Amino acid sequence: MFNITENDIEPQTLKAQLANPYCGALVCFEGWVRNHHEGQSVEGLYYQAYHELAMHEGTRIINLAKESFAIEQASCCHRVGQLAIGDMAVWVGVASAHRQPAFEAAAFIMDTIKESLPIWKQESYSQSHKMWRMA
Amino acid sequence: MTLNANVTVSYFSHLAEITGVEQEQIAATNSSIKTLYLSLQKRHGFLFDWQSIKPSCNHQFCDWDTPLQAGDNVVFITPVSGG
Repeated sequence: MFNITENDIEPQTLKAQLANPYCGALVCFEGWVRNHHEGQSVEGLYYQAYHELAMHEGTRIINLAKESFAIEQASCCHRVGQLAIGDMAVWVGVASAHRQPAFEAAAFIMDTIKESLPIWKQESYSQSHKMWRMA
Repeated sequence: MTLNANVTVSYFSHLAEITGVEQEQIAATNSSIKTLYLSLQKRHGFLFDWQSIKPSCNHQFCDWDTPLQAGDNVVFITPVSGG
């Protein structure tokens, strides 16, 4: 499951969707908006998605993780729009019978999202200065 | 033979900022998607070399030598920064 939302991410709801009696492990990752980047004070982030391609690519990444690791369930939700410091920008959850594949698949999903998902972040700094980030 | 293909180019992030528009219609003649990018790079002054971005056509990643057809929707994917 992959989704893009303009609203607050609700991790409890997403986590409940991964429940599986075969699984003894659940690894969750939350990406939060932090207040600094490379020594600069950050006041907020704006995420922009190429929605159609991002949905296609995000679904491909989840399916690839399920093919590549011994996991049962995987899910990711990415938020877009204007986010404040501390807001959750991305959530990844992986459920598996044992813990190691879940750790590895969660890392794979996040790494691949950061590498290829067509979503861009624009950082807002003090004095109304803004800049699109590259990676 | 000359082929004319009116395509829609949509812009995001850096490229939208540079062009000042989210979309434009382009009459691309005998063009591959790479030829189109190089033409737009020259027109708008894009700083990204074609090797540093990925092309997409009709909401799918594609190869640079993809021939354009009338009605195609093209997006050039600059380095992403999600997560």
